[in-house]
Amino acid sequence: MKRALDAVPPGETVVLERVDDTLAAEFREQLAAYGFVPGRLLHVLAQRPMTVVVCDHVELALEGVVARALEVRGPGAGDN
Amino acid sequence: MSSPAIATPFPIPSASAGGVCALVGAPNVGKSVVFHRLTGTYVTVSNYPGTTVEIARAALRFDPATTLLDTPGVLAFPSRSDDERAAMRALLHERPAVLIQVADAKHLRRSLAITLTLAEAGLPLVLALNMSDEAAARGVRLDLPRLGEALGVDVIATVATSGQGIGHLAGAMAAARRPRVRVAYPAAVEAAIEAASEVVAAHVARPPLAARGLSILFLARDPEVEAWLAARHPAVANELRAVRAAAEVGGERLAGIIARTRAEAAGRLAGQVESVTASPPRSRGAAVGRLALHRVWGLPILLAVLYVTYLVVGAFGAGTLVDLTEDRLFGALVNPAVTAFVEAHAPWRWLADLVVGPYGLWTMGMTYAVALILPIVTTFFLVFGVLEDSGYFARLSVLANRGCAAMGLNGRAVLPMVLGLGCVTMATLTTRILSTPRERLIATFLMALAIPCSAQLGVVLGMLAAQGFGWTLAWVAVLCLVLVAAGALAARLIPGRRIPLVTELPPLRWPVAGNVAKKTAGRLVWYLREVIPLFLVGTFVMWLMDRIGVLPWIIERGEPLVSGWLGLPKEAAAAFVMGFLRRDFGATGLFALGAALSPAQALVGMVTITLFVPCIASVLMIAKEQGARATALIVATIVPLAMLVGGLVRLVLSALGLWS
Repeated sequence: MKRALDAVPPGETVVLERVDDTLAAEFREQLAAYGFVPGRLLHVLAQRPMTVVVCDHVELALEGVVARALEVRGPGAGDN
Repeated sequence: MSSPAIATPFPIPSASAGGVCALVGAPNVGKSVVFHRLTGTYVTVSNYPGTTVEIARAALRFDPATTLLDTPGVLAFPSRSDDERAAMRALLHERPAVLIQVADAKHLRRSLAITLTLAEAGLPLVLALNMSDEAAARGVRLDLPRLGEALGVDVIATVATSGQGIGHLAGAMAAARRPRVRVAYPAAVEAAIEAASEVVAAHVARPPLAARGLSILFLARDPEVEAWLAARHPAVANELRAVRAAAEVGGERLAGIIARTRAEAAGRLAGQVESVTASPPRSRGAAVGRLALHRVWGLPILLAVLYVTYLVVGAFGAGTLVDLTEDRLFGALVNPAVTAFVEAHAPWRWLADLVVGPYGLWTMGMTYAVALILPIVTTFFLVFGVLEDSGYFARLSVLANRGCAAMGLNGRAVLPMVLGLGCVTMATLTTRILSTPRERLIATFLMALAIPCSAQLGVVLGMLAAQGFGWTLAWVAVLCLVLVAAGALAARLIPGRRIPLVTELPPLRWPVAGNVAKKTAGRLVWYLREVIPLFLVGTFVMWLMDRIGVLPWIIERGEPLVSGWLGLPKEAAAAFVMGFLRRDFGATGLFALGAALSPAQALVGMVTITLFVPCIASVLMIAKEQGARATALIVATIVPLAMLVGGLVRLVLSALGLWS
């Protein structure tokens, strides 16, 4: 099931599918540097006051507009 | 793990005498600690990403002829933030002979993305995987020989805080090799890279980076590489732009493809050499960190932090310490002695007046900077250092993000704003951590307008508290309203987009006393070296204005506005002019009117004086950071706005029947 990251309840682990084009290109490149690339596992810790996830063993807080632009799905085989 | 002590000097062959090596790496990985281990010199160390903005340099202990640079934290190249641009400028202009990447052993995948970029630079490289003890404690096992083999460079495990591995690192630096790893980009991108590399190789003699690395950075739109090439080889830059444009027709930007391909390659490489043998222990720091953002517990924790800050800075610093330094030390002992000495020995009356007169360089400028501000900023920097080193500030930026968004900023702006409550002059410099010129301008404007510095805050709160808590609350409410409204308006008028907040949340930890002490000492040295001269320049300007009669003229011209529009006694006009030199003097000037002011007049006066221009030292710092034109615009906006808001407050109080 595909959904936006900001719709994932805390405690779930999902896989990043894609980063929406609504974010500026430079910003998407910055997110890639943080590890937000398709296939990466994201563990959601909280959604308030901001979306907090663990990506590559690092806790990151993302503003709502960013979390909404990250399309995710439930984890499957071959994901990292 | 034992490591040889760095006792015998052994030069770095690839760095000729007077050559340079550079530390590069992400924020918060221990670069500055490694720098200290290799050179014996301290730089500011913090747990809040983005605090080492400047480039530190010092001689290597084991090769004094070679200089080591500590570059600011880099999330990735191409460079985007000021820190990354400064790091790239160092690579381009300093031409380091050896790069030492300091990486966090716990976050190998992200670290390797930087390694692969540095590998493309084609310079001898050593990879120091720092915090290897923390990685081991988390059950992270790294196959260092295999990683070194894949990269073609030495990979050294270090624990910089204890010195473990530093000896091996020094040895590896002396024998550093060029990496042989190479990221394979999609065919179309490789074609563009090859075309660009041929142009660079043919026309750029002795490039600071390998032709391939330089080309990839240009194609990925690194602004420093573009500027470097455009300045030295404009024809080459034009050709590369054409290559990039042709490659991007109808498709994604090359920068995005390059970033993604690199991240994927780093992930694959990390997967080959990293294994986790145990479940990572629950980190108490991470758990407490989540509590600091909890919907129920977050606010009480924030209020507790603010209360402790008030006790240390407000009650102790601005109260006890300032009483000691300003009244008992300078007021009773130092200033009388200096005044007597100068008046007895100065050959001219005007010189004595310049040094120890009402606007004297010593009696006003130095007394203000040392006797009043120094104790306050010392306690402020101590508290600030504790909050920084503990990792709380990252949480504060999350909590403050929504409020900052209303002002066209993101939560990262909370750092300079909070620093502004200590000293706006220093906080103006800290706006460099914000991502864009637009954010820096908005933050600078708002700090100049509506953030009272600690000196002013003490006097204002003292005066309003005497009138009653309700008046203090009204003052805070007006300031917050002005802050948000002015920020929202500035955000609409200043071109550019707001950058949404994405921030790391390092685990909360007990602040390390040594780190806090070093940070505080570093900031105080900066204050003494950079800010005090500005106070002295400002004092001189005020002295000159008084001498030639401009000050009395301004006061006289301002009296109708002060008494007519603001409803204050005409003597208050002098307080506003004084506030330009010393913010607390402006408030103190009103405070001195005492019983002559009703509570409502005190509120109008304090609101106006708070919103009025910051002290002259701040104005000079703003001019240094933003330029003369922006500074003139800020001052030209603030002066009438402060008067307007003050008058409106009077009208509202009159309408409510509270004016007397």
